[in-house]
Amino acid sequence: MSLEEFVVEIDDVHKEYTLGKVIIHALQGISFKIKREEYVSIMGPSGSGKSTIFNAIGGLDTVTSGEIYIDQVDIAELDAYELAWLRNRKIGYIFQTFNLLLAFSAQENIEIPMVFAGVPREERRKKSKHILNLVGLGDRARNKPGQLSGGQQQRVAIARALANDPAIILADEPTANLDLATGLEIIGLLKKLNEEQGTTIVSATHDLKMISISDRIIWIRDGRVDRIEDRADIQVDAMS
Amino acid sequence: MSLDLPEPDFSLSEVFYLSYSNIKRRFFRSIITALGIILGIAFMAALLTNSLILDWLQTESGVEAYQYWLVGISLIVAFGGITNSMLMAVNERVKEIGVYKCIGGLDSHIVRLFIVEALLLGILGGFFGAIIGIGMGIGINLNRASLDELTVILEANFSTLLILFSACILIAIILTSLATYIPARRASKLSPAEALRYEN
Ligand SMILES: Nc1ncnc2c1ncn2[C@@H]1O[C@H](COP(=O)(O)OP(=O)(O)O)[C@@H](O)[C@H]1O
Ligand SMILES: [Mg+2]
Repeated sequence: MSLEEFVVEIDDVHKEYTLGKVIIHALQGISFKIKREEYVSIMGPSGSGKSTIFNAIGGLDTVTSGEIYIDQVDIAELDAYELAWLRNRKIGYIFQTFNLLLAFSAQENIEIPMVFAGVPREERRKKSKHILNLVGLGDRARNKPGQLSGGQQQRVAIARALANDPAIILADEPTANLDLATGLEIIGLLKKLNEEQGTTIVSATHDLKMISISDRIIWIRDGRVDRIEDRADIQVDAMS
Repeated sequence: MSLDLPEPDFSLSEVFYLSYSNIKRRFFRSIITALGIILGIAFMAALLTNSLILDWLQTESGVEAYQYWLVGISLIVAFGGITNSMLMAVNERVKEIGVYKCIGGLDSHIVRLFIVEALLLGILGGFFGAIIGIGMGIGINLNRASLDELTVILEANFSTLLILFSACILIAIILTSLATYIPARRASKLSPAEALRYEN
């Protein structure tokens, strides 16, 4: 099995937060690997450490110890400039609260990561249009986030995550701020990207609707991996 | 680790476009910030103009000691008003800085965005603040001298007024940029996760 098969590898990752004199052991030795083109859900109760894992894999926060490889790159060894490059090109992020830039239209929100990547204007226009169509918002290119529904904003966020053809899309509770039907639409869209474009998706969630479409589920409890289930196991579980 | 990355090209026109969009979208907030700058500069310009005119009118003792005090105080007021406006404006937007970092913005990109915004506001605020302040400084001397007298004096010293006018704009630009640079730089040094969970 070649090493290149894994887009994400994290090994014995610990994360401690210090609040005054209290030390919170948010992650206590997390290890797992994620294969290219996989759809993996990280599930667990609130406070179990899902967002902390999301931040760690995404290079959005430092960890206390352990190793994290994205596309074979040890992110602990990257300087600020290289980390920005990683976030720009290798990873697309999706958040519970969308986190779009409110001053800019849907299309501009998708173009800004390309601006940081140095993509020429014409190419940006074409590509952002194309991605907007892909997420089903071709007709809302000029709308600002404030003029879009929650589900539409999340579609824009997904489109933005795709802007620079990342190796992986990371999502943190992407459906938590959406109603049931809209949540299902977003899950469907993520699954479609995963199947049709081969985008690797890792989503932290406690939305059980994600279970049926995931290739694997990593269950987290109190900052540790509780168990990892393959889709086959899940179906067995569901039947028994 | 070396990824052998190319220098990204973040051209000035992109920066201006992004900054301009931010000002436009946050129009009322930008106006309030600009008003803070205008007030500070107008107060300073009014006091400076007043003391200059008193000097030109050759009131027997020339510029009195309290005038220097007033000028000093006016500088402090301008400084306080402007830094306060700009610090608040950046502080409100730490989350936004986190978003820029997540989508690949370099610290320097982000600081540049904020500085250009500050420059635009500084020029605007300095310009109107100077006009209003100098106008007021002249206005409050109308009881001391007739309009004709004042006109003669102002025409004779027009170049000094022009220097004052430019100095006001310059001070506005320097203060807004500095009061933006320092907090924006600090916020851009946060990790994206820290910036995103920042609460004002
Ligand atoms: N910035 C922080 N400072 C202190 N403690 C934190 C911080 N973020 C998370 N924690 C703590 O770390 C643990 C894991 O949190 P988190 O990763 O957000 O869980 P989840 O996303 O699964 O709800 C919790 O006990 C939480 O209180
Ligand atoms: Mg969470």
